[in-house]
Amino acid sequence: MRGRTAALLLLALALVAAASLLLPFGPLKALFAADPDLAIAVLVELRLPRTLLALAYGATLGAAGAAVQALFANPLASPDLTGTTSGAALGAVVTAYYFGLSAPVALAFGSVAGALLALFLLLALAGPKAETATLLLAGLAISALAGALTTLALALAPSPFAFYDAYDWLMGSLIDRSLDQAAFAAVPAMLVILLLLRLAPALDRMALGEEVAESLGYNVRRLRLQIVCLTALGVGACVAICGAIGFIGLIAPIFARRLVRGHPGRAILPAALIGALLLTAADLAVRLAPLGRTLPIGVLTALLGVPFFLWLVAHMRWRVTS
Amino acid sequence: MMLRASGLSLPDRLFDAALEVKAGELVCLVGPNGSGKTSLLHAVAGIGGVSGAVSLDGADPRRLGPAARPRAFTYLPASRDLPWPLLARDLIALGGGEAVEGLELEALLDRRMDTLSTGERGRVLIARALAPRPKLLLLDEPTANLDPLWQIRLMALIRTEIANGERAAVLAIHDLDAAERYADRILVMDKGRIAAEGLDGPHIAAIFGIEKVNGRWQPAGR
Repeated sequence: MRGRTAALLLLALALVAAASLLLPFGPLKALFAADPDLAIAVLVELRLPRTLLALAYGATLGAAGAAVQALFANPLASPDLTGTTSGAALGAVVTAYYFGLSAPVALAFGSVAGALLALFLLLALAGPKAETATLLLAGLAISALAGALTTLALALAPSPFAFYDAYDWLMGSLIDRSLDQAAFAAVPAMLVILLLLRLAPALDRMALGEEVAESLGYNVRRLRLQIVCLTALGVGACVAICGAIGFIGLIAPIFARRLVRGHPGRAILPAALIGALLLTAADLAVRLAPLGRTLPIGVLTALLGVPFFLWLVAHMRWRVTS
Repeated sequence: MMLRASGLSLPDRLFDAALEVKAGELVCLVGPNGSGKTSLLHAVAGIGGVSGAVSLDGADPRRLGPAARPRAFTYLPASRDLPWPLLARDLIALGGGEAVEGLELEALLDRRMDTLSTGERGRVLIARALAPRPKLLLLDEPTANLDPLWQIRLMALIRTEIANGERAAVLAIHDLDAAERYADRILVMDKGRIAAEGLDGPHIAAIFGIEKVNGRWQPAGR
């Protein structure tokens, strides 16, 4: 990534983050005039966690998506399409409604375990060098299974309000999270991104093929295990707090690789920045849209992500057939 | 002896093979499909797990880290397929070297690998293996997919690379004529073992099922 591109990305990110803190500006301004202390409290305790979560979750999805795509050597791999996100959601639902643990720590453990389970299931079903079709079919099966089990778990949950309770969270939401909760997702997320960045040189070598990467002194089996565990940890921690948000992990790495001449490992950093940018912008759009009620953000990313995904599939098919 | 490898084995593929290569030597491994040529190269390079003892100038090259590896040895796989379409220039750089002279890559360097023909991709991949100027070249089917002129040029280039007597090359190759013409030593592999040396003798008919009649290889026993 060239310095100018990086600076531009950072600038855009800063602008969107500032907008996410300050918009809508009207009520905030009025509140400042009436009660400055309350206005600051609104800013710090309502808007700041939301912005932080959008940045951290988006960056995690971008970085994890880039790493998973590099690992499977497939531009269509991503935490949501491979079932990792649904696995994490199932883990959190089971933890919350069956073990009755709703503390963020317990939820995070549950969803990280669910994500790990989904990723290992994917490796077992599709294999490490899966063709696109195999990878997507295995991911689809895992997503469907996790989704069905989540619905079943909610239907059979001891609390009759479980389903209604969980609805907003399952569709993905950044609203009404405390600063503690935000930190609970953001700290593991940042750690995971930093550790993924350290694996970038090894992931770049995966572009030469697995055999050559190994001959160059990179341990591919260990790399695979590291990526799986880090992705599960980062995505799991975010899902536990904000629910499942799709398509950012698919789209961000695809744009990012264009900035680094296709290097799959070097794409991790720009993918994290683009992921953070996309999710924060999507959250801003959800907040400012004049719909009366706030849309779950997962709905918006899916509405925007699916056409992109279809374009990508068509594009790949044309390239294969022509 | 520059390279000493012994006790190399891989499950079901390679059985207790041994290989010794002198500095300045070009060794060709020949043998029928599935006889263990690629497995032998893998075992020396430490691909797919480490077995047996390998010593390159007194040290085990499979214990070297990513920084030191490309100067010790490089490995060219038989496949010309790549999981990601990088620029040729970037691919060579990822291997730890810069472009090589003698492969006429200038026109290819700024093109993406998936826009090149199989033979052109082969030349770029060979450049990736040659560029770090390693002590030991492990090349699996380097002439595959190359046109006749490039096959000759490449074998001559490999000879030039090791001509200073400090480097060596081990090639797995199916082209017996090229092996005869360019190799210092030909090792014939069969069923996961090095069965014989050289292409003269009855073992060729036994292992390959071919024999040389009037200077041409033909199915044996006609």
